[in-house]
Amino acid sequence: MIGQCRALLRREYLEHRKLFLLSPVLVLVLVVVVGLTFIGGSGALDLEIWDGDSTSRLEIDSDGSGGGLGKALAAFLFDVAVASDVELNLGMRALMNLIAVPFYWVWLAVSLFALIACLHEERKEGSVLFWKSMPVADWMSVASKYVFVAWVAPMITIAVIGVAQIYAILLLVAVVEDGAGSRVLLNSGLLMSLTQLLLGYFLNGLVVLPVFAWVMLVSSWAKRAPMLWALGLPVWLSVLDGILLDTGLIGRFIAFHGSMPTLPRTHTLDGAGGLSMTTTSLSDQMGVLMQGQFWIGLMVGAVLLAITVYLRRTKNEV
Amino acid sequence: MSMIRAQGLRKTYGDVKALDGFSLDVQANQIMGLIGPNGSGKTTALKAILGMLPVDADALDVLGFSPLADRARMMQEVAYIADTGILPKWMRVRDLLRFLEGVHPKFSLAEAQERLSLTDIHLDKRIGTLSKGMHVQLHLAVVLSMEARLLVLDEPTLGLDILHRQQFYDALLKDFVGPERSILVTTHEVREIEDILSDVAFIHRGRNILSSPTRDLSLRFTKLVGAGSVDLASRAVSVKETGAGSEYIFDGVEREALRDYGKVSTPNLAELFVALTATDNPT
Repeated sequence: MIGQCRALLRREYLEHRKLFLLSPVLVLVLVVVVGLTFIGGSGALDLEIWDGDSTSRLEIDSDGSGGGLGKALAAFLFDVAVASDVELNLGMRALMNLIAVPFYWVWLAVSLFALIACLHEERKEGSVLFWKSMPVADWMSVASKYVFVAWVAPMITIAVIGVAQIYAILLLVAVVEDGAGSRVLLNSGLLMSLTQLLLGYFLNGLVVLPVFAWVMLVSSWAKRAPMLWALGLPVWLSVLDGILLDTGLIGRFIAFHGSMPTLPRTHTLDGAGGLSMTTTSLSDQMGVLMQGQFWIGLMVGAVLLAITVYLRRTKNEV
Repeated sequence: MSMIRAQGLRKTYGDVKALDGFSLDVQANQIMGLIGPNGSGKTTALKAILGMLPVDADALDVLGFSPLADRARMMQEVAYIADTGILPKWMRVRDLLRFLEGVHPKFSLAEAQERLSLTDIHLDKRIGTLSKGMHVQLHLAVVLSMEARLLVLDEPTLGLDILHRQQFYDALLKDFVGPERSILVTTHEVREIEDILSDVAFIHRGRNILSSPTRDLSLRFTKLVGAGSVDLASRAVSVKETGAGSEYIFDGVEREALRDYGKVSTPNLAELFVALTATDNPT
């Protein structure tokens, strides 16, 4: 059984490695380019980063005169001399999260693309007959596809995020004032970020279950245009709900399960005391388990996966 | 020992009856040819036997397994080659062998590598780049390395030239046929496998029109080619005009009674198949 699982996961890796290796590496290249622009230019950075809830504007000037999230960040990162270790650590963790966010969305897009193709393509090219001629249960075949995308492929993403974060830390060490580099290194928050990424992706594999399972169901069922069905039907139902019932349930359900709420992020708070930052904590991540939507999603996802297994068992052609 | 016991298989697609009570019985050591025209239900029957398609059945048992419910366990003993290249085209040969070693408890990697070393197939080749002949060679090498007891072949040589077709069946006879093993094969090229079949089943419109050991066919069916009129013509299952005269196929008529009317012989499978399917056609 374990040998079969390993072989099935390796099969998934071989089939999708280009997608899941190349896509984060492309984002890494962008991060490197942005970093080099930052250090090679005036020492200023102006970026807009979509973090799932809102667009965070990151403006960093070396004198700390940026605005929005960047202002808050710059206060920590460029006033190393006056910032406490706690403040510096918070700033670094915020930066680690900001670097990671583009990778989340790229992973999600690539995962949806891989899953929408996985069961449709094998029927289209006829190889499903070969896979089904193997002594492997359908539920194992379907599960291996899910496990690979939800939990194995993120290991690649996390590794590349780690490289990007180390690159950013080294850049900062290079630009901060003499003697402050060691404080940046000590308070980089890299280990915490990687820990949170591991926990976040593990939990996210459960949170995203109804979305991914729906996509796999469509992949196992649609004769043609599976992407259109996978995206179009939920959108249509959501619009229909808006017109007839106006409950917003479907939209909220998709938004919760598709927005990767367990992955670490940075948020700005514009309160009475001025602009401040918060980063996702471990308890924030675990807190998702306490939400009813999470458990409803697990049940819906399990039903959708069971239907997918049934379809995989009985359908051979597109 | 029964390898396949299928009784009363039924499958409909809308108004079309793909299988209409089809039955098949394959015993150990048999090489069973399942012969039928396009759309007769051959592939549907094979998929039902392999547990890849749900069908209604009075009984369906393959090596003691219920195919649909126990397919994973059953496929440890059964190997399958389909009419089209079904090996994953994106995979390299080496990766395919490693995958098989991981998922199939009876697959021998060393044996597969040895078989492939006798061919022009390189382990680093992507399967999609192999010719049709190589693709079939690879699939055959793979299934012969699985120690399967039942081999199911659905038009395995379709699209191959005569040389590759002959090589395929030679390898099959040399390396697969043995005690407690059976082959179920469908093909359009009936003449090519006629000599290797121990049994034959004709399927038409999802129904059996003949099931018999091939050695019994000569006892039961007679072909008569004669120039004049034949008193027993009404008992012929088919009559065809040829350059040499009228060609009759008789079922269950004493051969001695026909000798006076012309040249008698045993019809080959293709002739018999055409004769019986013509009889089964609606008027």
